[in-house]
Amino acid sequence: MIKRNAANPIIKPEDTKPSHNRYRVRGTFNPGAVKFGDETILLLRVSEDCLPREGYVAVPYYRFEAGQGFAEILEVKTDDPDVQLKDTRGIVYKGKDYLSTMSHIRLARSRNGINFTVDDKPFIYPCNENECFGVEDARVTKIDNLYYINYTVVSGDGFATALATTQDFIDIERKGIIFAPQNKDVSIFPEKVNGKYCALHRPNNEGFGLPSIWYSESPDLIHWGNHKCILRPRENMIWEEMKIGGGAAPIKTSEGWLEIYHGKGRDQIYSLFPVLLDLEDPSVVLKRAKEPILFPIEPYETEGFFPNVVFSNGIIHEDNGRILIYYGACDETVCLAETSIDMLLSVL
Amino acid sequence: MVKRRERDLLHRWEGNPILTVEDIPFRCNTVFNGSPIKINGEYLILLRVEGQQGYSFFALARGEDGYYFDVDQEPVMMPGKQGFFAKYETRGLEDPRITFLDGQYYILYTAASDYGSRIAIAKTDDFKSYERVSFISEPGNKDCVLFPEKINGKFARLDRPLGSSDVGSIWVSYSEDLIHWGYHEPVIEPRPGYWDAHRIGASVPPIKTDKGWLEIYHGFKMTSCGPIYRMGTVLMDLQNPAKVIARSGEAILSPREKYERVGDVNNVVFACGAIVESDNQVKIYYGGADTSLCVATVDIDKLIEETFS
Repeated sequence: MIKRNAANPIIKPEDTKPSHNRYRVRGTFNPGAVKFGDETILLLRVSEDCLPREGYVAVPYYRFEAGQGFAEILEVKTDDPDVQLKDTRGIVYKGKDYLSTMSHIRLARSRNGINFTVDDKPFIYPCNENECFGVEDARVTKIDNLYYINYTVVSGDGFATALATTQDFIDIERKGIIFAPQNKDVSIFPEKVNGKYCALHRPNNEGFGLPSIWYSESPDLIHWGNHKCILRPRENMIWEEMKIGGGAAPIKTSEGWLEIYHGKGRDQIYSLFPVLLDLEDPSVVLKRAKEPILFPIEPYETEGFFPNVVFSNGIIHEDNGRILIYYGACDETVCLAETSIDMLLSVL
Repeated sequence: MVKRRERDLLHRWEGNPILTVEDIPFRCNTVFNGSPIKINGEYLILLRVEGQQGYSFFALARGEDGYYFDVDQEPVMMPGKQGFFAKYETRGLEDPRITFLDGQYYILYTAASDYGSRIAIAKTDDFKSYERVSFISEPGNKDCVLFPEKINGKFARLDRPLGSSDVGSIWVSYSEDLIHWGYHEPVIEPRPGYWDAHRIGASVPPIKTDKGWLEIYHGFKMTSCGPIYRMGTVLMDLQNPAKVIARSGEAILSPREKYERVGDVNNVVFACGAIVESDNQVKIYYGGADTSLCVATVDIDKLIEETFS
């Protein structure tokens, strides 16, 4: 059904240089994936914290200047009266919040899709206050020779989804926030349907059922509207007990749009499910798998920074129907699993 | 001797509240948050009325002087009964805000359903028939006001997407067709320690002044007895509303009178619109304690001055 690569995990934190000499890379995970020329490019989420020093608390932060972000460190004595230690996720210093771990987007390149070289420099780095707690989980969709990259921006206002474009994976052009807080897990379709671009997204409907997958339309990929809820976590489904969210850009097949989404279930275990959406109207759900196609089993999926996570936002599909699912394991590493369109359609 | 002192920048009309449930010609629970518009000298207020079922809908009040109103015999907008609108309005319609733009009256409102609260837009030419246009946000977003003119060729709005742990800031976004929205940017955030420490939201559709877009917004701080809702002002750049020119340090109106202190939701003053008169007096219409509709007045220059202090 689905075959994990023998070389898993194929990218680890130790393969990656930090963005500051006193930062430490904790995770290289949740990659967007795209074929570019004869290379496979992964858009890695690189999470970093600060090397600890005895008697001190050190947290990373970004200083913004002229539309650029610079890596900085806040280091204060543990007994400083102005510092308030929260849980392991952050501190409050002089009334301001700091997170202990923050992310940016880095490229990794490969000729064979398995052995990757990670760039030394960041690709998308936080550049303004809307991104002050980092940028995460990039997804890439190619439309008319332009690559659209959507990614999660995190700030004191929560998380939202921003859009950028690139032609060459060297320079990016930022297009602003396309989904206001709290919204992430955005998957942009690779072509217009009925004259409109479309996307899956995951707003936060806190207090009104579990977070669900919504669908919306756009005339230009920048302005979005006609949002509707199309997939809710299923009752009596332990894999979807907490929430669900979209993955990589949907794949067009003869039977419908194929999307691999994630569920967060009992005991915070993540798993991956295929769903089939109508070709003419992707807001119509045709079929949805009853069992996950991938869930944490291997040690690299069950033990790590955040155990029991498999999360995919990067898929390469080849003309012969072969599907390469790149996925993050435990918010720490990149792994690869292989399947085919026929196989996925057969479980639906 | 009675000591009289204005406690707030706004002057409450002595006849407040202007509308209560007693003034509604049909059976309902409460009337509050209303949005006013002045058409050919007549004042109309689109009212949020909460029915005895517990969900809200809209009725229309008419008056000649901005203070005394009669309410139409029947509600004017009920939760949608068909298709798309039925699905996302099952828990009612809340907090309308009227903006006159390009010859049309647009009504931005909160649609509540099992999917959460989200922003919807409707339009009318005459306040007789109302046409729903679209839902224009995801769930977790409300307090939307439409700017009364395009900015750099685009429609613009303020809204309040709910952030993490229940806090919320005022954001701006843009559209070419009023249906699809993008370029979302934060404008102002809650201020720790202030009256608007916890959550804020746009209240009155922005008023154009020579100092910038004047927004009368609401905010609250949390107390051990629940939130206290107040009003404040912010001035935004005319070309780029994400750029804040000034923000009032003090609240311009705080719950004080009994009709603001005690009701279905205690300690709330909540505006959904204002009328700027030719003599520069602004009539701000606001809900008192989610149980009545009130009006307060202020000179617009004083309001701007306060925003800078």
